[in-house]
Amino acid sequence: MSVLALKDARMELKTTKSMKEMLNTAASLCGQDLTSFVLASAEKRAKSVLSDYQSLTLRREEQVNFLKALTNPQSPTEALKELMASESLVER
Amino acid sequence: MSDNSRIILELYNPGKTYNNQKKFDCENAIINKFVASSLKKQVRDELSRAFVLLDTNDNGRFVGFYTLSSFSIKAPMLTALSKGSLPSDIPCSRLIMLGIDINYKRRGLGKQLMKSVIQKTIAAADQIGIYGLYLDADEDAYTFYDNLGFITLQEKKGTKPTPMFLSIETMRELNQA
Repeated sequence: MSVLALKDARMELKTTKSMKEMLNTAASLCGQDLTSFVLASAEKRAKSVLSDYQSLTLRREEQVNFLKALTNPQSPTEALKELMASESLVER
Repeated sequence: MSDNSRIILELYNPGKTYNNQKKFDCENAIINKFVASSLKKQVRDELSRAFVLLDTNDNGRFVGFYTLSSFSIKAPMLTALSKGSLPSDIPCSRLIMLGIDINYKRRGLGKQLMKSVIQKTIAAADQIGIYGLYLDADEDAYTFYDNLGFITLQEKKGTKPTPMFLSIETMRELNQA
């Protein structure tokens, strides 16, 4: 979030005294106030959750394996054949 | 295996109240909590689609479900490696969660849901073109998916689930339903 962004919403959080103290101490060690510290940490986590929800990025050698799976797809296994041949549930 | 003829599958409707949804117990605390308090919101917010199993003998009791969403596997080298025939972001469907009520286990319902997941993926591919099905397999489910032909996209690290993928071509070869 940009420092210049208009802060037009409010969050109130209840916590324990000891948790607040710990967050306060950690915030001052980073030279931040409590609000910036808590929001920046939560924002980082939120971005990571959102990105994991939508996509996965493969490393170099994994991409080579993935290419093989896409260009030379394997034949269905016995277990898959059996599954797809089984009687389906009624869908409404 | 018990008689499954009274169990039906339907598209989850977030505007409807399902018998026992709040008390759904599949022996996995995270999934139970999700079904009780987040499923409705997630579907309403268009983050996923859900299909539910209902027992018509027990007032439409909520006895199982899965959630499916869109997903992309990012492989920046893929376009170069495939000489331009593949994009570097591979669109696919993603099986997020699947669960069966503890009292309805060991009668093949989990497999039936998996079959439905594959059929929905094929239908999505027919409509908008996707390359396959992605999921994160927990340790106890890994062998099940491995036997179905899912490949491991990333080797397992610690206690994290294993990302796995099944190609649409493999699924299409068998779609007779």
